[in-house]
Amino acid sequence: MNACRGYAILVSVMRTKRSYILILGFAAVLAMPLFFACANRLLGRSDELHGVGYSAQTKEISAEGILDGSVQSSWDDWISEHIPARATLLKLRNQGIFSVFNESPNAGVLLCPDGQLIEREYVYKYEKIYPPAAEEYVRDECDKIAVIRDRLRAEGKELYIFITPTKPRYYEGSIPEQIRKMQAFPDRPGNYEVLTRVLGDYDFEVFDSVDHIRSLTEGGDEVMQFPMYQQTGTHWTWTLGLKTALAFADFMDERSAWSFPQGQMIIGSTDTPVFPDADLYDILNIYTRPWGNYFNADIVINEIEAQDAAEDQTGVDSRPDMLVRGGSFLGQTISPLINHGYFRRSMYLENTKVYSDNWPDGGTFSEYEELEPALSEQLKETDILILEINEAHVPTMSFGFIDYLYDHPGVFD
Amino acid sequence: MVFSSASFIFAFLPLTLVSYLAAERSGSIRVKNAVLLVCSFIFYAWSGIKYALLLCVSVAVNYCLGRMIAGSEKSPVQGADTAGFHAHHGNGVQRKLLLTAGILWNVGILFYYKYLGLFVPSFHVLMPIGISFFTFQIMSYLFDVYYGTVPAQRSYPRLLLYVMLFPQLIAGPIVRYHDVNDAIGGRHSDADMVHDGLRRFMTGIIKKVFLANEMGLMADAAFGMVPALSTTEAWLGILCYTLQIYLDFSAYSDMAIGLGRVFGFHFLENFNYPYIAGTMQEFWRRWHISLSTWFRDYVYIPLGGSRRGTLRTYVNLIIVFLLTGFWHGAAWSFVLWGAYHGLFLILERLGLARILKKIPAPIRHIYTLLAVMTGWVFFRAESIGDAVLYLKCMFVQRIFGLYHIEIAELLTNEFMTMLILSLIISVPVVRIVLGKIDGMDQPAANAGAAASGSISGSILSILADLVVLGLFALAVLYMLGASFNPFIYFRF
Repeated sequence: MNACRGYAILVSVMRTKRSYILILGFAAVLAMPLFFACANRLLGRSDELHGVGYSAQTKEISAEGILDGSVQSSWDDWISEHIPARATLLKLRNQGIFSVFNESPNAGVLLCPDGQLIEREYVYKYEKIYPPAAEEYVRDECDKIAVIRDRLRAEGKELYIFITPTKPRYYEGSIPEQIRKMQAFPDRPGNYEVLTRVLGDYDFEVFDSVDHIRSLTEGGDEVMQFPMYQQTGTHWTWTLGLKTALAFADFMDERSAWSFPQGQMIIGSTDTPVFPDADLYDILNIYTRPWGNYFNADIVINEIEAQDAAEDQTGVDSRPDMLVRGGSFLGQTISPLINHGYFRRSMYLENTKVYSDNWPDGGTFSEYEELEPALSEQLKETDILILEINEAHVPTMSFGFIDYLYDHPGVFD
Repeated sequence: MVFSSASFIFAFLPLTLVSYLAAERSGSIRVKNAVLLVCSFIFYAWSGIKYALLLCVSVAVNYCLGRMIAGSEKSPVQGADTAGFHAHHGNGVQRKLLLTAGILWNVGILFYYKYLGLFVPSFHVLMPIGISFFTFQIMSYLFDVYYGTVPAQRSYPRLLLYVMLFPQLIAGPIVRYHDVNDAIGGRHSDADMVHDGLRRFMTGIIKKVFLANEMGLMADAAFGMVPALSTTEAWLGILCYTLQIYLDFSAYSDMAIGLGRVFGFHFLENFNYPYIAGTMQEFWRRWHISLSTWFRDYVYIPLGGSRRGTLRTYVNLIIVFLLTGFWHGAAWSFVLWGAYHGLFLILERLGLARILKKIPAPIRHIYTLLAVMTGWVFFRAESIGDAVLYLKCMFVQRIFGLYHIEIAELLTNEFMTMLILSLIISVPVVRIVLGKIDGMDQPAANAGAAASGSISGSILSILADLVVLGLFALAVLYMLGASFNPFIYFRF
């Protein structure tokens, strides 16, 4: 009897405890941001978020704004962006999605079943789910490039076109079947095919890195010794970028009035991925370590040869000035050449960023007019103009730069 | 302010709970009401102080009208119950005039903010959120006073608290005055109530963040591609919308009912697994119960209900459902949706219900589900034209398979998991399991009967709570990173 009574008391106590456990647990969840903020501080660690983020602007406090709620709404956004340990909380969330569902927590990145990360935009463009570029448009742009090239030639300047591929070209087999069969324009040629077909009708100096990679991979793995793309990156690997950069330097050396030194590449393996080998992994914002066999590489140049290329017989610096309009592929590739002194001065326009002596840390722009007069001054000094055309961006070739140069002939004078 | 937002979860809610805990300890109902009123004002003013002030003014008008209605009768209301519902006392004409003035005032505000733009396209004004809900709430107060169900509230702050009580202010359930009148006058929250309330609130957040939002993404993708949808895509889209609207709205009701319980209120249930209904009549007994009973008690019955002959009953039904549709939104598609449901109810009264009774239950359920899902097309589409095009994709064109990347890319492991969970949550499986666990946890009638199941029941209950807590924590993390977090019923 006493045992039964004791049992009943125990059950009653457990019911009471149950309420308090839940209430305390609820309070603990509400206190999560504070808990993680304190834990991070005590452990001396901090989390960072990578990728494009939205930054809420708090609205200026005004009677009208408070009356209609717009000020409070901006406070709402501000609060959600400034929660203590927000980065830790978001990384925990992303890790949960990644681990439980084996999916990318970033909507813009596709996690293929074999662990390959690919930007969805590039998949959709390569698989012709999005419409490929129209040949008329590409031809129209090429006509403009021809005019620009002739203007440059008249000033003794050179123009090169640098074609870059996207990752799906080489990892199409990783893309899930359900996406590949969504082709909306199966009968039309892809961006790259349209571009190369049209370019064949012009006599531009074109460095086609798709051809270059084909020549490298024809020799097999023992020739490559490193992956074309890491599973965790959207760009070609740092090592392939260097290899391509050297090939491009040779390409220019054969065709240009200027000389470029021959470089050698040295490769070593590393545990820590070198940029951009884990750039897609970075924007997943998870705690799992990046997966892949990573390599580091650098260029070695024969100093005597470099000296010969850099100075004429009178000892004056004879290296060319260079201006590039491109994206991140060429940015990754051309920067080692810039850093190893292949050019006297350079200006690099990468998407919406500009790097030059005026903007060593990278300024941002949205319209080319914003870069004036520095852009015109650089163009006047420039000996070599390089236009990158990434196959995904053929429908927006050179991001309006071709049109800008075509419409502003004065910049060459 | 949205319940599933960082500012609510991490700022408003903790501060409100702590303040209310302090008020609860004081033991004074005035202090408790004052704390809730201040918090509710802040909650509503977050969407614009001018709307909160408008609400205060509107309640003041209703307060005066309520007092005047009560003052013009011979006060038979002490201990009045629903038996006196239709009793008329005192100066009938004056009371009717006062009630009419109150209806005109409340409907006038609603019409100005919500419907005027429909008739005058050049007229644009931002609608106070939850206007349809609080308008119906305050009207229920006037009706209840008029019919003698409750005495007029003597305290303006208490009446204001009834309307402004933040858990149910902007998306219901439509709490009837006579259901909370006593609680406003005196209530107490104990640990069990807080436990039950918080668990209900967390369940709502979990449903909303994990299930409703995920279904909403697919529904939006499908409805965004009308009329180029394949048959498969159209059915997938409407299935997801069917789940989204139920999970979204019932999640909000869960949160409201849960928070209400934490503060000592007992709001009535708003949903009872509507998708297991076997007829449309049953569906309306299970869907948005607070709205359907409101219309039943304050429109259908005063119109004569089913007591004035068959034809009049059908007319009354159509009126009620046209109003129900119109209540949801200032668009003709909502009116059509209401008429569609009214038509089904009439058909069932005409004999369809008798036929349905004779056929196997699964077929009855399929009929109801198909009818409800088809109705949701009118509810969700941007216009009647879009709804017709969508229905064409569902029923006329027979193109099977997926053709849009916007839909295909959403068919992830996460989506499929949430879809299966949504389907499970839409039927009473979880309720039965939790009920059994809770039943095992109930104290035995006598100590000797304390079976070994009680201990295991208690342990299971604690484990169930821990699962809810864990999912709630994950839902909060999810919520922080989600850019898609709409509440469908906020716009009503």
